[in-house]
Amino acid sequence: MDGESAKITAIALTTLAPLLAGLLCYIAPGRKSRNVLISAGIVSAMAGSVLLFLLLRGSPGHTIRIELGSVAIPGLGAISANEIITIAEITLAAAFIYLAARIKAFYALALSIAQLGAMIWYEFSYAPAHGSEHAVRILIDYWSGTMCLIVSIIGSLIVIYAVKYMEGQHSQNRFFAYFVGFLGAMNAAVFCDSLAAFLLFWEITTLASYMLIKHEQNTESLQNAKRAFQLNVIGGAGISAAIIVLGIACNISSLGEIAALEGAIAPALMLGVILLCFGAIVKSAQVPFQSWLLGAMVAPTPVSALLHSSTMVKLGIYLIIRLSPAFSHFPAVGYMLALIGGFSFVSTAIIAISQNNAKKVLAYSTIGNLGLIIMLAGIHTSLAISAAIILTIFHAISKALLFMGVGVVQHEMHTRDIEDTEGMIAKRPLIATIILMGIVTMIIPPFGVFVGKYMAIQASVAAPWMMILLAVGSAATVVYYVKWFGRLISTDREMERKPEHMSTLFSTPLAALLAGAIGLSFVIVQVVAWFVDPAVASMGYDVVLQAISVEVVTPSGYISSIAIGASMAAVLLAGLMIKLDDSKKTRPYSCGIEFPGELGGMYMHGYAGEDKVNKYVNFAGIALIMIFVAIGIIAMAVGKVM
Amino acid sequence: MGIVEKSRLKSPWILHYDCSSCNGCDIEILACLTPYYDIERFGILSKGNPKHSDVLLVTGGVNHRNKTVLKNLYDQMPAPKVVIAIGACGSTGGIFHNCYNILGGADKIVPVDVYVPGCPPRPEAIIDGVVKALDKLKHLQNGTWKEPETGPIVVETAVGAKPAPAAKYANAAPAPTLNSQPTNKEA
Amino acid sequence: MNFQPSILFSILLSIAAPFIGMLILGFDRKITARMQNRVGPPILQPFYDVVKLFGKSELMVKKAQILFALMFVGTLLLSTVLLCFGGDLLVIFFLISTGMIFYTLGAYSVKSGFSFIGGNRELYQMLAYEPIFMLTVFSVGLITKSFRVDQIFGLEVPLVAIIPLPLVSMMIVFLIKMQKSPFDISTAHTEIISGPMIEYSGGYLALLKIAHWYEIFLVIGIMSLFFVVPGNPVLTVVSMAAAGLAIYFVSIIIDNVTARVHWNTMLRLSAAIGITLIVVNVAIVYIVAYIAGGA
Repeated sequence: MDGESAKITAIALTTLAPLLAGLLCYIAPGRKSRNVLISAGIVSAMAGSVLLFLLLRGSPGHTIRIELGSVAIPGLGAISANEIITIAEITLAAAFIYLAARIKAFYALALSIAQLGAMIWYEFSYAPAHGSEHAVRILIDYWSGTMCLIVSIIGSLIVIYAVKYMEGQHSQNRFFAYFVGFLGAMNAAVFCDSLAAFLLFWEITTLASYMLIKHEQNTESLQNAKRAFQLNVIGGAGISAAIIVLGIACNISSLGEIAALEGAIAPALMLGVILLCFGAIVKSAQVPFQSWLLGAMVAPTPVSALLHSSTMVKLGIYLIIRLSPAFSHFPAVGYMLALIGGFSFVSTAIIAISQNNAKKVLAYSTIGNLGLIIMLAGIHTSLAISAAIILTIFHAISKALLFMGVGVVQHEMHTRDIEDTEGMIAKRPLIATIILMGIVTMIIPPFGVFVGKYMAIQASVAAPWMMILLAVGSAATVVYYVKWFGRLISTDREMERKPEHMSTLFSTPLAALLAGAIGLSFVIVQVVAWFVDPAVASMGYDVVLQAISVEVVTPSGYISSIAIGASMAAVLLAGLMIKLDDSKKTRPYSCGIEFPGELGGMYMHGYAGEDKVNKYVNFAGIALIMIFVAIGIIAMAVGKVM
Repeated sequence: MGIVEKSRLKSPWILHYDCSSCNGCDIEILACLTPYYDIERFGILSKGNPKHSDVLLVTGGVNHRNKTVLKNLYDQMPAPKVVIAIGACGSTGGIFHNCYNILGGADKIVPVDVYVPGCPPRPEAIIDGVVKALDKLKHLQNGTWKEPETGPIVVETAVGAKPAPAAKYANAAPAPTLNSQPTNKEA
Repeated sequence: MNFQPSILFSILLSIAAPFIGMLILGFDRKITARMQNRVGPPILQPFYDVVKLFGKSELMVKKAQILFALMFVGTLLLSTVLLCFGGDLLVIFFLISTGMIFYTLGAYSVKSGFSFIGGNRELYQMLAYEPIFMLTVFSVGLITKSFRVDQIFGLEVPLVAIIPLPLVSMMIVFLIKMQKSPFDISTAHTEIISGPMIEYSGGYLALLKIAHWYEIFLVIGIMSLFFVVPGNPVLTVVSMAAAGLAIYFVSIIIDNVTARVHWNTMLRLSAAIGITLIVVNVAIVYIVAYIAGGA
């Protein structure tokens, strides 16, 4: 097998195989055959992603570029790849219109019709007349490769978990069709350089997420699915508008061209980039669009895990980071993005303090972390992008771990309320420990998310005012996670060791993710050297993050995760060796009697309650987004980039 | 005297428990904390928490309701520890000694090391009691509780009248459990 | 001249660190007593307290408490060593805040009312002081163009000449860290007894006390970094020590003339005064630099 066909195989394994497995799941006759299909889909995705990354290392310039020209189909002759994409897009748009009409989502209906009309006009009337090229370009660099690894490996682990979680539930065929297909669409989206193809897979993820959110088919899930659908259609419309603006005014049809632009920049390009970022902001559920991701909590937990950690919301992040080199031409865009992201970070961190629903806390935490990443992409220095990539990787792992842990609790204890899980460490030590480790890897050094945050602070030297948002946001983040951690471990006596059964389909992905979260944090020097630095370099930045022996060295500081981790582990081990015999045990102090009451609270509703804060947050969010888009329109009007 | 023993004498932390006192003794204890008497100069701090404390001050007679509380507080104090009964009621039950609900002094429940009689005792007497209790701490080594061989100490009051010896030292008597029956029907 | 503390000095300083914190606390109790017209305990009182606690037996509720106490001391020790060796100021800051997380978790780990309230209040305090602390560290980084402590010794003028206002904000942090009025909210002695520490006893309580010594050394150390006089080691030592003493004397006065506030007030104060002062100062620095650059 020569290099070229190996690359095509790897791409097909990561994209077409899960999509196909998903399609076949729809018509699978039984549980066994469906499980075989699911396994085939995820195994090929995992194998393909690793193969692709290895091929990437060997490729010239560390990028894989493939132009899909025309495909010969027996009986029809040659069809250009672009036409296939266009046809698929129109089919999808028609499906969207049908869906929107059926669920009476009128905004989405109007937008979809407008979008369909515009796309048909653009693809069939404008583009051929102006001699646009027909090839669909695929560009895979380290950033796409890293994303593909995240999607394929973490996504697959979530799929394994979902198989057990969904056992005995209705319409599993449809569920897994979208679930497994999601991975393929996600991988395909990060590979596409051509905007039209990117939009297609973007919209497929919208459709799949809609189907997954409404899986339960009750009033609440239908309603929330509708909201998710409506908002994401707005985002998709942003991307479509961007394609048309970029195509007409700048003759640009691919992401790579935008990032690599030099010299004089047309104002239309700025508008196009703003529209693309707008789509990404919706996808990543930033304020004021956060409601769709919060509503998506009604879906079964594996769906939340999938949407929050490795796929869907990460597509918006991927796009913004991909576009970030272009922000140097128009600083206003970067600045506004940083503001929107930073604002999302701080506002969701504060609201999360008031939540007692574990999944909602996680949802707010996701939005906050994505906000942080978007803020870093807006700052768009090399260090900021490195931090953003580190955060993307480690956030995906830890968040998947947390969601799946909470899912096990929900599955077996039927509660999402943090107050109900008080003292869970004594009742279910195994699963409690997993959630605890998830929290630890989110906030405590030397784990990856912490290193990302550490670098984020250094990166914000380039945009000092963002630091205010960052400082308040990270303090609030610590508060709600520590509070949760505290609830889980609050017991009044030593826990009893008792065997705890957990299905292998639950424990395997959880163990793998836990090992990943801890292991990768300890070898963060290698992570930087293998994934982060090459990805930053492949987007055209100078590499400023150095991995020297055991230290990650930034331009203005250094951190040694191994040294910190080893010292903390040593203390922990020493502590574990201390024996506390029964004669040294006593009851908690409660004025000489048994503690009579219940503990709980500290939700700070007066400061952080949704009902108090939401109106301001949404107002500010809408204002920021409107200013953001307005900047592009003003730039067009005055004919000058800002 | 090793450094630990020396430190022990220099930093007695106090837990004050009011069993069923009329608050006369308690006010006198609080008076010790004021700048006039300034017991902090001996390193004495009022901690309000048995787990941090070395010295337990008990005021008032023990009744059926608070005997378990007193026992629990005593049990939650890490060794070495000393107990001081303050006032007539704390020492013997005082004028309430034959009241239907009163068991007697603190020594019915916990081993008392020092009695500070008086109704109420003067702050000087209380401080003297604490200092005398520290003498007992000298007998303790390496954090293990060695039974004092000297028996309980009775502090002489400021007016010099030596009170009658307090109730028999109750160290050997088993502490009542949660299930022990009250002696009267009402309780 | 670039003043680099020698390795021996760093080692000695990291060994002396807890004792410096201890002496600060001892003087604190003595001076407070004198201000209240009392005699007060000996200067070494905190030391006696800790030795006594080590000599006592322990009564704990569960083993997790011990782990958290050890992690608390461990992270602060690591942070102190990093500070003495001129490490990364951000890492030092984060290790301190990690230590506080472990401390809070130690409080939360026991289902006990007072301990729980203490943990909650500890979190309120973190919400109040962490942004200030982080922004102060950040403004130091902004001025020195690096987060390494040793770079501060290479500046042209002392930091306090450029960014004095963060130092004022840091007083809030210092008061909280010293568990002093008006911000002795988490350990509120007469109210929730000892808050987060209540379920500890014996040697493990002593560990928490020692961690507190480290904490005080760290905060005073970071604050006195503002008074480094570049190029003059002797003057640096003198001015840092003098500044540390001055900061600390001011904190004692504040402690003695104020009463404990509600956490609401603390949050508002820290946002209104703490963060604003830092922002104003950094803004002034930028405006001055802009005018100077433009002229």
